[in-house]
Amino acid sequence: MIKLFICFFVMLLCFSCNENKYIKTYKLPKFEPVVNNMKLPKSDTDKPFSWVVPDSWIPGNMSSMRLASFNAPYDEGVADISITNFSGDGGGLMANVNRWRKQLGLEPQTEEFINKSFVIKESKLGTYKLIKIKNDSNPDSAFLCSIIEIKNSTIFIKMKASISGINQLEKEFVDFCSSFK
Amino acid sequence: MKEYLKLIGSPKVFSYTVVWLIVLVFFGTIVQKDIGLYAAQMKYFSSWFIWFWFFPLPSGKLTMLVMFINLSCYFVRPNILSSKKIGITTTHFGVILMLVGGGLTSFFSHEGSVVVNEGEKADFYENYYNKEFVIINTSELDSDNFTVFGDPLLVKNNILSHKSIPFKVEILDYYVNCKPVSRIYEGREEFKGMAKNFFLQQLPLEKEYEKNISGIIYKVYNSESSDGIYLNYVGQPITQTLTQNNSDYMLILRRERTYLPFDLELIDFKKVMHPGTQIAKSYSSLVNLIENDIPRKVLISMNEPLRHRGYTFYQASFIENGLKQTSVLATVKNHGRLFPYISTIIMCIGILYHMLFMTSKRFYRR
Repeated sequence: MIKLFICFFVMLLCFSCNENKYIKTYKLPKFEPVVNNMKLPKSDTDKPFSWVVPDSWIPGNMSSMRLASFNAPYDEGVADISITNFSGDGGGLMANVNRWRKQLGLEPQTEEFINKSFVIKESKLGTYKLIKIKNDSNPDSAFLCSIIEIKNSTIFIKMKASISGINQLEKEFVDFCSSFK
Repeated sequence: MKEYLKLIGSPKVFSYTVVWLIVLVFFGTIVQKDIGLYAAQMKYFSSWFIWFWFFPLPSGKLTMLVMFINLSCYFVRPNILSSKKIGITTTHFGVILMLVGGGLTSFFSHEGSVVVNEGEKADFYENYYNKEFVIINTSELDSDNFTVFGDPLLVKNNILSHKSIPFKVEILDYYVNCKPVSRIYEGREEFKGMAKNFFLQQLPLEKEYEKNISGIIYKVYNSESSDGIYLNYVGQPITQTLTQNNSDYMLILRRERTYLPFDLELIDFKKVMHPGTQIAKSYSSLVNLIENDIPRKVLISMNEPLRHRGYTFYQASFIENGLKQTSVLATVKNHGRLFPYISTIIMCIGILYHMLFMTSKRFYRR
């Protein structure tokens, strides 16, 4: 009887120590994401410009207006980055900036104030304007936007995140915008 | 031998274990306030020992094992099937059956949740607590090869390797709860992927264990050109990728997945609110249970779970994101599910028989 008990415990110990039971291998069919009437992004070759995406960004949800979307993680969440391209001036700098300000619950500003808010940066497509729009009473939502004027059209790159997210991702965003060529 | 059995099977041992279980239940309930339900269960009931300073004390699992052995010794006693003892024997059997059920639940039960969007299918559920590190070879055209390392292997300094992957992964650190924090300056050259711009900051454990965001920092070596330090955390939007021998690999840390032998397709999710409030009164999911390509419509509501092939799906929660609705079904597979019911009935019969037998015996004596 005692021998039987000893055998049982030795077997129990042997099985308990087998690490391979925590390793599984299996094969699954490739995951096919469901596309609900969503327009697929145009290929890069369709666009007269291209960009370099930072390592930590992944493609995000597309919409009919967007050329591309990305998600960038930060401390508290994930920022949404959109790239749109409109013919001409895309409605005008002032109108667009004031529209974004309105989305954050801010009052519209004058052209002079908006022009002073822009920071001029360089990309291979030429200079572009960078603007940070935040409402201190709403720290959960802020925008960091770039406007690149190219021949016959304007590219709008917009990042939406919390104020802290915008501060954390600012360098990556600027690098991304500067990579446009 | 008989002396040993008498000692182990002594009713005193049973009494002590019962008293000790009461103590464990008392303290286990008190500490839930500070450390949460899951951690209290693990510490006081699911482990073999509790460390009190440097003294190991028996935890719930060991105490119940002692109780099981103690009660089992009863069955080597003589005349246990006599009319005088059959009631007690039945009661002993009922208690043993309950402990066996508890053991089955402890060792073999699975629980988690199926999260499925309207119009989509799900064929797996994710564990609330355990995580797994997955390396996926995505090189084949029509399928992916998964190599999955379970939660017990995710410990600091452990080396993960398998014949299906051509490189090795050394775990530099594993955090049960953490958050990714952006680096002020880009990391050293050995940092790859997301680790270039982020590091993981360890956080204290959440009281609700399932809310912890686990993270892993690991070093890949023996690869062609992808050697370096990477990081992953649960829910990470970016997947780390490697290329080796013209094969592409994805590395993911996720909640432990269990695949179901059937699909659940969410046809419609409905919720009824209390009038004039935003508080849900009831909610239900109309699902297609698809097995062998044959669909069957089933309604899962708050008090009417779906039971199929040993799995039970309860309507637990929902997520609303604009017009998109997502249903959350709590999933349990418990092999010991029926044991408490059966054992309680057996114990009742045993006690009832014993009481009636003793009462009638006293009556006849008078």
